[in-house]
Amino acid sequence: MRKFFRCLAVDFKSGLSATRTLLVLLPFVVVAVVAFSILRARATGYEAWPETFGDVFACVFGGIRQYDPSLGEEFAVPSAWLLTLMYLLFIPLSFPYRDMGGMGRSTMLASESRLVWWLSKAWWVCGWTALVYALALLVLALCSGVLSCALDTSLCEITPYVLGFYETLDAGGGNVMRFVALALLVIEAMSLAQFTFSLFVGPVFAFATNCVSLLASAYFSFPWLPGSYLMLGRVLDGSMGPFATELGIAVSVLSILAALCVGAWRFSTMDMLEKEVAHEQG
Amino acid sequence: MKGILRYDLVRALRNPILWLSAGISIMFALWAAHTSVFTWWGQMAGADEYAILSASGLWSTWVPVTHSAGFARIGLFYLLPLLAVMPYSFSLRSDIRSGVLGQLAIRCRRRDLYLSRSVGVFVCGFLIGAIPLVVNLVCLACFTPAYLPEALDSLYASITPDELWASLFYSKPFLYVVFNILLDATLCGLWSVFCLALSAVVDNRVALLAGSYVALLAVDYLNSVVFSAIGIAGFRFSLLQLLVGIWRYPKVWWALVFVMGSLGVISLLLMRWRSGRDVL
Repeated sequence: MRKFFRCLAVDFKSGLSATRTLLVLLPFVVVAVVAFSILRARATGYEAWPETFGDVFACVFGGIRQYDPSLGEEFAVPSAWLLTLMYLLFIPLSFPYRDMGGMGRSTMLASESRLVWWLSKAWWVCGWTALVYALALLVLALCSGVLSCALDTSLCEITPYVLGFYETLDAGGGNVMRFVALALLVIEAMSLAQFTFSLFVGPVFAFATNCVSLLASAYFSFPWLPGSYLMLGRVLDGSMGPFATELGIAVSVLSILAALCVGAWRFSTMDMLEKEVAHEQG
Repeated sequence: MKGILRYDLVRALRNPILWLSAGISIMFALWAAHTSVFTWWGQMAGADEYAILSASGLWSTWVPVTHSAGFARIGLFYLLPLLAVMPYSFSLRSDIRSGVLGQLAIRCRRRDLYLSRSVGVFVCGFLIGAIPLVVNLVCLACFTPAYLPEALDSLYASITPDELWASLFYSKPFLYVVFNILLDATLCGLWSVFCLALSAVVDNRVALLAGSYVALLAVDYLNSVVFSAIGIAGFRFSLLQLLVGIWRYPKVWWALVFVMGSLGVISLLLMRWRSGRDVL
């Protein structure tokens, strides 16, 4: 256990130096998304929007309403939502994989166990994702403060109209409190699945898979796609069923457990020498 | 120059990741064709004269210009820039690390070395951009009739008059298809060369390939919101949107030239800067 915590401490220290530039850029991404969402809302006549922290949160995680191709309308990619999530998933992408060589290899040798190393990295991915998400929330809270919004997690009456959920979501009928926790769990699950998948196909293909998975979630809203539970509007308006939060938690927990087990198995049997050569060559 | 160019082309084309990336893009292209064909058959099953529109023929159901290809179309065009850079765009940095670049630099001129590498990377990107579009067209041609698109059906075909090469689409659709394939392939090629040039300053493969894609998503977001935020008529400047034949905003030639020119000039400057530096 002591070795595990030592590994974790080293990971947090090395991880911070590996991702600090991306962490510094995160507030700019979040602020840009919020600013353009507000400008766009104001250009369409919603001058007083946003009114609460929940509204500002919805700028980023609002998503799009359930898409029905049979209606003949064009699919609009939720670019703000996609950009923010891909950025959140990009931050913990590189470090664990790169750390199979160099300093990480020394840590692995010192820990005398591949399992300890793997668990430490998995905890790092989860911890870092939570940290990044918390930082994003902090920036959103600061934006709310700057915009003189109430620090209230409920959505104001016009938010369903601004987000395009006016047909399905009742005015003033939403509170983002539960969704904030659900989103954290889902992002953790996607991040860990990405790390595990990178052991099989490399980090860039794992990242591409997450991108396709998020796009597919926006297009299809299948209950087994984790991205479906990352759209505030869909979770609140019941598109994902009456037990969307519970189902989202179940899907995320199952994904986390599967990623941990498959990753531990893969990492205990994989050829490290091959990865080391690949690491040396980039 | 010939020797190093042949070396780079052989190395680029024998790269298994190139064919893996091409395979993934072909899979999406076939899925798109399958969806379009079944949509067309569904319309035919309705069996009245109105259902047989020129808008449901070969040219109008081709993946860049149709909405009937479903998710496969979105997935294909959002993945293309990432797939284009995967095979060979990091080769310069990996060759510096492994010492191969130093070996090559003593056997040929620096200028030839960087030029041939850029050509190799461009060819990879070009192929990744072109192959799925050709496969989709050929697959559709096996199942749907090549009706000449009629301007009256533009509501269904979705190519509006302000779209780039719109008149060509309604008069000589084959030329429109060829131009679009060349355009998309060139954009993918230029994007891969741009990432190759960025590898002169970015040391981390994942940061280069995935990070540049996140930057593309940021530009795509900007393109989606900036015009509605400031309330003016929009056009496309995001690479992700320029690859598609039809989108929310029209494609205009000067924005296209600007994007291609910027990618080319920045790549050239970075490569020139890199060629003056140590290869060890």
